[in-house]
Amino acid sequence: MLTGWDRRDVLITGGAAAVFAAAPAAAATSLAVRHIVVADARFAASRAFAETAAKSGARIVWTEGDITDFWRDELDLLWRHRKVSLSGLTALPAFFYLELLAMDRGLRVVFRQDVRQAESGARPLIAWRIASKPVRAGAAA
Amino acid sequence: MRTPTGISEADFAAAIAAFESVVGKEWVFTSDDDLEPYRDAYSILRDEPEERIASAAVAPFTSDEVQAVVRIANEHRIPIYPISTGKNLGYGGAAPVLSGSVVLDLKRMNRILEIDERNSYVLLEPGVSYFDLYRAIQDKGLNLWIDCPDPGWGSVVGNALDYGGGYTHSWYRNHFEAHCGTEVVLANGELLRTGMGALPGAKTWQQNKYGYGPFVDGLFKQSSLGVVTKMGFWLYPAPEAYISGVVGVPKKADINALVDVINYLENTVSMQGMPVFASPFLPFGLPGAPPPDMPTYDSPVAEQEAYAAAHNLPYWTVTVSYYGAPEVVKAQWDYTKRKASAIAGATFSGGDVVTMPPKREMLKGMNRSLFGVPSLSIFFIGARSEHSDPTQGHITCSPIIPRTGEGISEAYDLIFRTTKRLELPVTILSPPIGCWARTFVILVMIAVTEDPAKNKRTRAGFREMIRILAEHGYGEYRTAPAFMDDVMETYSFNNHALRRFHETVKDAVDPNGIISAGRYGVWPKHIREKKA
Repeated sequence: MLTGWDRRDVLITGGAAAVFAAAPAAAATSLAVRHIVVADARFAASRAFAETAAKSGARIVWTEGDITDFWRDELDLLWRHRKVSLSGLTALPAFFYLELLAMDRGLRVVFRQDVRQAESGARPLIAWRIASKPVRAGAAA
Repeated sequence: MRTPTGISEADFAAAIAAFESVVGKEWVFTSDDDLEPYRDAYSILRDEPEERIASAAVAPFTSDEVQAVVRIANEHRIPIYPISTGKNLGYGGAAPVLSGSVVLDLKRMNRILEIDERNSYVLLEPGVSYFDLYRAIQDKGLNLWIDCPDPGWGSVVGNALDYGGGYTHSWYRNHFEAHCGTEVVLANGELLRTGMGALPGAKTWQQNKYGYGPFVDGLFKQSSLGVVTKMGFWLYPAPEAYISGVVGVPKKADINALVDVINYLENTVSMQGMPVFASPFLPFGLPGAPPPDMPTYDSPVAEQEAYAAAHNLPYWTVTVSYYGAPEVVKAQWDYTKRKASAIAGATFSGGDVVTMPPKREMLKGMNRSLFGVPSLSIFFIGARSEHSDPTQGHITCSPIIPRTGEGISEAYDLIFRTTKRLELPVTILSPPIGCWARTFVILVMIAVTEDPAKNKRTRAGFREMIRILAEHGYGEYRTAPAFMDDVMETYSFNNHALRRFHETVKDAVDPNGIISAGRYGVWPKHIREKKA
């Protein structure tokens, strides 16, 4: 039985959008400790993003696009107890299903921006941040 | 505050307050932000006036709370729309069919109530996902497998009720047929248990489906007659070994004999796994550009066969799989080769015995669902994939076709011609899928875009395609809410006798028409009268 599906939370991620408005590598520099960053090892831009984020104390989850293991073994359980925020520079699928899974747990995408890749013809990656949503106005304590 | 059609703000506010008194204020959602998860991410009506939008959502924690919520809805005539986890993307997601309905979100009801290893069953609630069930079995070290669809983030109950399918043994991969015993909250708030569950203290609720008297579980499949709050499922005792092999045949017409062989093997339980048919010449294949000199689907057959021969490619392949004791699955693969050798030029590859459970390394790059391991990998070929053009999502045309080679050829010809003529933006046309016994289903995935004008054209074409397929004897097994009426319209034998029967039952069981109005094309009386 689960007990952690509490959709009321406080906004703990102010200013996230501004952080990511810069280039991905620079954005990662400002990430807070205890923050999780999802990276895709197949893309140079994502690798650079993650390496910079790691220097700032973020924990890096390396994928090759498929986040199944991360979800099953870690995030699903983690989000039942704590609304840990996530950031990433990934291809569309990883972002898409993390967004939907996050909504079920009371988190939201608070920043999203397409990031063009250096390789010609490559589809853009997406810089994103998922965090707790603001507490609802008028909601009971 | 958005309100259901015909309900005043004051009445709706009273109902919301009553819901809050049952489930707690924090589990009733009415703001736009809170309702965002209840929009259909793949909706072909998205951001249009016709988009199906909830007026509120209520998330009960127990069957008792569901009963109380349903009674309140009945009292205030509030339409409610139960969802399990709302992850059936392409078929509606978490959004209601009738705009303004209150979504009854059952995700918090996520208890696995019993897992019995000796008799291989589970009893669980609608909020349990395939990931949850898999993890529970692993954590307890039970010698059981689940059968899961792709992706595995959805509800075990919800997928079965929507008639979903999986990949492992034929006895388990039809998820509705694998269920045994249901608990349902009816529209009047009464609790019903089916099968042996109707016997108080029954010791065999999850072991005998039928109990006594008429079998009513089917009334709750793709249904608007109740809220399923518990469901039992038969699980697969973990097999010791697995074999996968590929049978190839050189000619287009060989598909007729090949399907017959596979049917024989499957229907004699000589092969358990789902057969996967494929051909490099099927139209709109999976991602990846074919070689430029390769003949296409509509090239002359002689050219296709010559190309296949020159490149040492079978025209058709079927990947077969076997689960069981090592010596048994090896014998079954040998038997398959003997039977298929009757087809001139048949080739065989694979067939190595793999000991179960699968090693984690082995699963990398494989379809994990073959081993009952839930995954999210399917998104790499779906609407939001890295390979296709960016799309908002997809709708899926899902006709059921006969399990014959002739049936495959006829259906693909029709689908190819029709989608071309109607200029439907097909992203993926699946091979014939044999997840259910005795038939194939073909999934024609059609792009949903962010352009309302394009989506409007697609909707018109999709409706026409449903009609044309039905004219040729192919019915859809499931569809997105925008087309549920269109599909039900095609099941019209004897002046829509089936729909009229559904409506009779609906009116009797849910006279105020509060549950899942319009789901699968069945509307309550008061809405039917307005539409007339």
